[in-house]
Amino acid sequence: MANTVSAATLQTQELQGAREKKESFFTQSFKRLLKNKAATVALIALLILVLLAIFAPLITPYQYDEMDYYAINSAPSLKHWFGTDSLGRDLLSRLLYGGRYSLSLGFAASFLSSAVAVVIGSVAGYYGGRVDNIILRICDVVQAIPGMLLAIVLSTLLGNGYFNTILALAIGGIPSSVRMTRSMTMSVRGNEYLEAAQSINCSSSRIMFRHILPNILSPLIVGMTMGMSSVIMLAASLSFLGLGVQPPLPEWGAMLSAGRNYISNYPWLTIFPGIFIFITCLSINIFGDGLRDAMDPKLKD
Amino acid sequence: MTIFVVLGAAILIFSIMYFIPGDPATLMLGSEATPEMVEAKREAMGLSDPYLIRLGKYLYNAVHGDLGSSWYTTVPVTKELATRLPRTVLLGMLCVIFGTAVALPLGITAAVHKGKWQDTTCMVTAMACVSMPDFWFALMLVMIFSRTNILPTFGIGSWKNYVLPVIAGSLHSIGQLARQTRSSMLDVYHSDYVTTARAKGVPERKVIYGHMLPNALIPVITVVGGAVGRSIAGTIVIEQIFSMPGVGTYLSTAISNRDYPILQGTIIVMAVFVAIVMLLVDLVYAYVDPRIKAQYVAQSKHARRAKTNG
Repeated sequence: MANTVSAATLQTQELQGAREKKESFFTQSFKRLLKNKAATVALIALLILVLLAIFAPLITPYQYDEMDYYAINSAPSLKHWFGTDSLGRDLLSRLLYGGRYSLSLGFAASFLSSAVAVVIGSVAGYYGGRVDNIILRICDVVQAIPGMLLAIVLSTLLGNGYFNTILALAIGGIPSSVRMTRSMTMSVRGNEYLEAAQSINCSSSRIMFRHILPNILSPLIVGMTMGMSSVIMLAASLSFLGLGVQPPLPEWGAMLSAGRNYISNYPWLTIFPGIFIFITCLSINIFGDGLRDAMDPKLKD
Repeated sequence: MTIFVVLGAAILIFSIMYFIPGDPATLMLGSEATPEMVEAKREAMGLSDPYLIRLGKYLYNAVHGDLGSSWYTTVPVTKELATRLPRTVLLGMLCVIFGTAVALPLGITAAVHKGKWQDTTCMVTAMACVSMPDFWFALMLVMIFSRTNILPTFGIGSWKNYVLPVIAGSLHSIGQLARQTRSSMLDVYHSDYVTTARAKGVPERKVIYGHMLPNALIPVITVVGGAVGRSIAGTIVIEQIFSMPGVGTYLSTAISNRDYPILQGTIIVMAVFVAIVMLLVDLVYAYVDPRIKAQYVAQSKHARRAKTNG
């Protein structure tokens, strides 16, 4: 009798467990995120920017390289909302197209550096000892060079262009993510479920990426989001210096740089690209803050 | 340890520059040079030596204060840096000092008034500072102030020339430091010694500045250290915008001219500078935090005991 009762409770417990499981950690965090008004607004702003960039050809009245010689450097008007540049190209259209480059540069570079860093950091944290030591020392060396300088040197090496810039930006971000992954891996390293996985003869890579990684994923995601805005800004500064993505591609930093020569007479050429970078970075930062609070309520404040 | 990091950074930068495609001799002589001329130039520049020998030579010369010369003007890099580096370091340091001076009150005010309008105002300001592209902000300052005669927007000379660049350059540091100060102040807000101090009837002002702040500042010091590196690197753009003849302008001219010895030498010098600052930050850390000092003392005692025993 007692047995059947306990079996029944066990079953209900299991059922409850299954029901709870339906609402995964990420849905929970997302719900918590939506309660945060600032973060929600930031997320919506970010989505709008991404959508505008994706559907730029359908929305914009002009092509990004369409020149109008009768409207060179014209001030913002109904025809050209944000004015036109020195070649008579519509600034708004260029900014929306530019989102494709600026935003995707930021996303791609931070994703790439996080992906590489997760592998290296997991290895360092999992094996520890000499491997860990060597990896950390390499990180020390790379981090001794300020990120901006490293990006400059790397993009000189790799040359200008979209994909090379992604690489140049991504490499500089690797060491700090490696450190984070490593310390997170080490903090869960002694847990029982890893011992259990080891005892049923899981391979090291399976333990690292199937058992450890999901448990340390949320701080990594937060870190990646937070890093994204600085990568976008770095990309803009690179193009501003004449490296990275180059004109005539409408990258925001490159547009700023081009508008700089006309700043006293046609200030809108500089003001609007900067505002786009500002809004993007602001949304990403606010969203990142909200994400951090939502994923780890303990960390809040 | 710092020496190894600096050496590693120098080797890394040298190696990256080594692999840059394109032959400097051909670049320098132009397209009309005959193959013999190019070969002679390569030989003269030591470009035909293998990688390790070139690396060794470069490091040897660098230690002896020779970082090579510009390809175009043939002025030695160290000579240029000697006049330019002090300006850049001054600018970078002013940015950090100004940034800290603005950020600490912001962060403290926010933490003390948590949840009230002061908190929101300070944190919105900090968030705006973090998210604002500093070169854009610098350009806006130039645009506004070049129309008035209040402050000069280019060149160096008097202290007035430094006002705008410092404001623009410290923007990110202000944001990050203020956020860090607020969160570490809140961390110590509920600790036992703060409660004890309040229970003793210590005035609130003294609790904040005498008991909470010294403890909350410890994590802030790390951020200040990071801010030094960032400010020094950030001067590249800031100096260019405000036309200040510092290392940044030198570097950005070198980038557009593809003058690699300058790029290489300048970045190594900057990395060395940043590494030294990081070392200083570690030392300050140990000095400020008795727990870390105690750790070191215990370690050296332990080592001494082991020596005498062994």
